[in-house]
Amino acid sequence: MSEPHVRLVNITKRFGNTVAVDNVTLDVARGSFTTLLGPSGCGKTTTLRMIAGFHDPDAGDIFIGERRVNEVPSHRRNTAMVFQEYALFPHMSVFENVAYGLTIRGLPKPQVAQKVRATLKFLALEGLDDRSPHQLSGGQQQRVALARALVMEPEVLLLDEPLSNLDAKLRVSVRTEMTQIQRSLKLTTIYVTHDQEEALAMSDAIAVMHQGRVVRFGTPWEVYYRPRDRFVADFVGLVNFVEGRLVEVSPQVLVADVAGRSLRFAPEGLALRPGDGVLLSIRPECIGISLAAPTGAANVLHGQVAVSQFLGRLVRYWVAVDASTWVVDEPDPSTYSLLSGEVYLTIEPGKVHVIAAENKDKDEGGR
Amino acid sequence: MKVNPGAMGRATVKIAFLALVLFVIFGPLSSLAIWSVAEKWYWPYALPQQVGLFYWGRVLGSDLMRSLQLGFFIATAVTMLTLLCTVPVGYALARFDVLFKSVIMMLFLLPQAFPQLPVFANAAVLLYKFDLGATIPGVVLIHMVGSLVYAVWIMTAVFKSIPVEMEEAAINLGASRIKTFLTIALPLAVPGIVASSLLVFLYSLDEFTGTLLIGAPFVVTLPVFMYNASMGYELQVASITALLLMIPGMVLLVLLERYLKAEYLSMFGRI
Repeated sequence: MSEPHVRLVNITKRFGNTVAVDNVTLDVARGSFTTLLGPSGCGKTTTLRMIAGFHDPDAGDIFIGERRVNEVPSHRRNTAMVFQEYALFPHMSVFENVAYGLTIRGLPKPQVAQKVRATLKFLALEGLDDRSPHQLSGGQQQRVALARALVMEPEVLLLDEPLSNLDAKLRVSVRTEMTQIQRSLKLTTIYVTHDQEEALAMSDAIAVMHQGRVVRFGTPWEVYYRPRDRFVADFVGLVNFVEGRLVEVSPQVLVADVAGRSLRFAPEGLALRPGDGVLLSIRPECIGISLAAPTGAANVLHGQVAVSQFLGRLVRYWVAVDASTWVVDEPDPSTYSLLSGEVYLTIEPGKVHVIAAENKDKDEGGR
Repeated sequence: MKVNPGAMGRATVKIAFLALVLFVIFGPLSSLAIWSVAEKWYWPYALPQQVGLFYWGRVLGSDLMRSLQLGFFIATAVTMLTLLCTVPVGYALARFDVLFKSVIMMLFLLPQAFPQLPVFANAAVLLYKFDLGATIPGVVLIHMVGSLVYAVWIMTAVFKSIPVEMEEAAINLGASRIKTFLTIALPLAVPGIVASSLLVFLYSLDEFTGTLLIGAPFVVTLPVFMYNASMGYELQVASITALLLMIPGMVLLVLLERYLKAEYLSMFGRI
């Protein structure tokens, strides 16, 4: 990771008796797109607002670059924020909205006009200068809010769920646009969302927050395929949880007993011993499904299709195996009819992830 | 053409109801209008025996116009002073964690909780002590006792109805608190300020009890003039005064309807 641009060191924020942000430490790399992801009330917006200077942390330090900004008022932090509801000034035109910050800075009028026009052009908002915010579509309002932030050439761009008011289709196209803009400007960006798909699609790094804490920080791949606890695995996409006890341990493979069946998986460099309890996670798309019994697969389960759903780009099956139900995504539905009846599930050992392990002797949390 | 008897019946009921409503609203007003032009009207005649503009001429040529001017002057002063106090107070109450906020809001309501006469009578004693009795500043002050109540509550609701994110966005773009207030909160509050001003202006223009107690005998506004006129059983003069007094009220209420937004009212409960 390149040098940190924004650093949060043990920051805590309380509102009355509620701890909104609990001892959070986070390094945001320069030029990266970092997302704070979590359910509502997890403290992600409060964290963002502390970086913007709208809330003072009760404890801990916030650094932007080398500068400790705890005592720096919001208007001197050189962070630009895009709000969830955009917060465009309704009594000003698009041009005046975008020019507002530059005018406050005292830039000469011609320079303001030139910068505003360049930014409006960059965001494909030309010709809308004289419109009022209420005359714009949701997507245009969102871009004006972004223009108003970008024109300030801020050190850090802060985005508080800016796509949540757009309809599903527009959200996908705007998020692609935003990612392209961020990459082209190499602007350190901190993004808040509760939408895991958005976070996975846009981010260089994701900090998953839960109950005021950062519970997982990593690349989208790491967060999705290598969650470190049940909450993260469950929050970021669909997942099959499997509990078992290790019966065989070797440097190449681990074998767990899962309700009387053997499940083989990769050790991921963990120091585990036979008898240890493990919690495993397997994503639905990591499981193969077929009507015919596969040959040569490391893990094969035999079950019965309980429910199937055609979702366009994939088919989702709920398969009953003994007393448990497995969710399986078939990404390439090659037949018109969905599978039904008895099916075989195959799981590659490398796609099984150990979330937690419990040592049978010491009985302490593994990770 | 066939006429549906049911529909005709319904239409008749509607028209009758409309006529009743119009009568209830305009009945008393028409009596005022008739009295204003009645030069001779004795019992048992239903309508005046002689109509004319004699009394209008008398009224317009009398002190009434001076009272009207004075009333407007006082109402303007009351409105401006009230705004000067309540815009900052309303903003502070809406945006900051003011200690004892609800107590402060109740304090403004307190004079309205008691019968007006003793409140004004007590205030009169106090104002006379400071040589403000029967003076314009005294009347302005007594009007402000009432006007501050409306204005503080409205202004607080108005500022509350402006999303705080707008101001945060301005601050985030580099504006100071004062700059934010002047460029964002204040312009967005203009419709509310106008609405509040209209209410205060109307209140001051129509205020009677306080004006009579404090202002008499030198400060005579239109309501006091009307009172004096009707005391002399000059029903014509009283009617004309009442009609004249209604004009600014009606004009301002039409404006008020334009500026008073529903969201301000919805904010009253959240103050």
